[in-house]
Amino acid sequence: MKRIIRNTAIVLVVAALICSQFALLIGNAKLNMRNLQLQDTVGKQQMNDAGLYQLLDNLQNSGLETVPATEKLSADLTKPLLVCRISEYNCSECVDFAVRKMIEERKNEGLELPVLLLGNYSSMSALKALAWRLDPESECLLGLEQDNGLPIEGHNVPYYYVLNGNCTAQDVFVPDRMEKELVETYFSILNRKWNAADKD
Amino acid sequence: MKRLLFRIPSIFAICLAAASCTGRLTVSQADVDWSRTDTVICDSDDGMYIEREAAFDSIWFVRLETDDKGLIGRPDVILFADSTIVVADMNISKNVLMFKYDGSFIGQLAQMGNGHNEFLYLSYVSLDGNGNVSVLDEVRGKILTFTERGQFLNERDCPIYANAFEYADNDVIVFDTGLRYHKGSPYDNISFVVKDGMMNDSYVFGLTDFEEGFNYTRSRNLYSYGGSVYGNVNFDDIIYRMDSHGVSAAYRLIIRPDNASDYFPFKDKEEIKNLYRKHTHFNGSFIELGDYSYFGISIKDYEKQMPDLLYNHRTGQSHMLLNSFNDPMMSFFVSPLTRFGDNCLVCVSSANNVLNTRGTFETAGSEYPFPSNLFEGLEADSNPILFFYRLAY
Repeated sequence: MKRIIRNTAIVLVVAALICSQFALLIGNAKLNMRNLQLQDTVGKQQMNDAGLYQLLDNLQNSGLETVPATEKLSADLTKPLLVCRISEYNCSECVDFAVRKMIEERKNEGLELPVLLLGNYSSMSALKALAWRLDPESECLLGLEQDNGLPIEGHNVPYYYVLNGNCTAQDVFVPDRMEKELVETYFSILNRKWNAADKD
Repeated sequence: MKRLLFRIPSIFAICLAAASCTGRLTVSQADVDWSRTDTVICDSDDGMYIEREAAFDSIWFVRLETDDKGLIGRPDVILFADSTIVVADMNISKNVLMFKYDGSFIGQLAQMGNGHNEFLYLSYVSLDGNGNVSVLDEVRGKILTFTERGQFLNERDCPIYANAFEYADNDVIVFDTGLRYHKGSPYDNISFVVKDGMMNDSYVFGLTDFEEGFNYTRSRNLYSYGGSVYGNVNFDDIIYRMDSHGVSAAYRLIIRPDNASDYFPFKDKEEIKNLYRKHTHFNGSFIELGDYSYFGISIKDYEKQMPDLLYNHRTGQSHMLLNSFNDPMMSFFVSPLTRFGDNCLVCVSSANNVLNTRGTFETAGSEYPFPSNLFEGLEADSNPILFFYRLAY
């Protein structure tokens, strides 16, 4: 009787081990697939958007500021800039997630691109109030712009893009707060791509 | 084992009895009293227009002091307590701030957090009958109460899942459900739930679905005045009055010509959007005043004037407001947010917007002196400015 119990237990443990390994393999495969899809999406956006949208004039007219400092900065727009595009008409939880995630990546994950919060807000005080609440020490550049002409504006969601040295938008990405892993992958791609590009 | 089997039915019976004693909800739809309903006519072709300048006898402003800890994104609710102006910004700074009547900053009323006097999600702010400020935290399902100077008084459970509430007479509270209920809730598809001071149901009021999955009765903001709470639901040109006596229809708004609501019933949300784009409609902006009621109307043809409407309680006449271009202070009269006192409408303007009108002030005639104290030290990122328009009766 004892032998039967012992053998059954061994069989069960082995089966559990096999199952867990199998689950891990499936999980990794899914994640790899996602990363591939993400890179593909980023690449396509780059192809479609590069060279189409000249944003320099708008940005220069809107005036850039930092939090907490209040003096105007003349940002060097000849170097790449990560833009977090938000609007007061977006869902406020989505805005919070997009901004927080970007600040977090910059602080903890070594993202070297300077960041710009480009808001469609009724006033600079509104944008400043938002930046102050989310991180008083963030030192994000702040800018106001009503409509930047990108087709994605019509979707009423926060999104990121890299404003490169030629002042064109590329690497457009919509952060989904239900898909944090995917957002982190986006930032790791940016890290690899732009941190290296900077060093060159 | 046998003993246990015998005990199961008795345990079940005890549980049932306990459940029936613990205040079961009795939801009853209130009948609307139509005997005190005023008809308000807004006729852009044949109605009575007045210049906005003529409607007001006094205009003044309060600049809310700008402080790093007191930045306001966009005021959603402004409350006028005895000696404090309470400003709630629910979406941008997610803050409730206190200012003196001269605009100087007092401090934060409550802060975000998970503590017993903190909120996780700022949903609504309201004044109770004692002049204290109540803050609704929709996520934690709590109502926090503070004095108007921010001293924490108490915290209680919010009995239903609501997104706004206002106090009426006799400690009655009107909750606006926003129709965001889980199916199966006793208040499913109910717009307003009215409770007494002990949080027992007084009555509920609202309409049902037009078709499955499509709510057409999403309620709009609540307005508290004179012991009653006024509310309105979409696509319905009726303002309802709720208090401890029940619910009555206060105003029936008739908009001519070509009111979007006349095309009821609608098939879907897309059809509603199109109707609203192409036809005149009540935009849900309503403020009850001592001698007047204010209605916000939106029209299809933007070249025409926006005929915001003032209904005079004494004469029963409606006056559509025409834009005035003489007094530069009238340029800030846009979508009044609330009232002050009995007969004063309050509008909010961003510092940016005020700075842009500086030229208008400079070129205005000598009848309109340049208000230097409006512009002195004002920056584009200063806090918004409150403009007060007192109605001339």
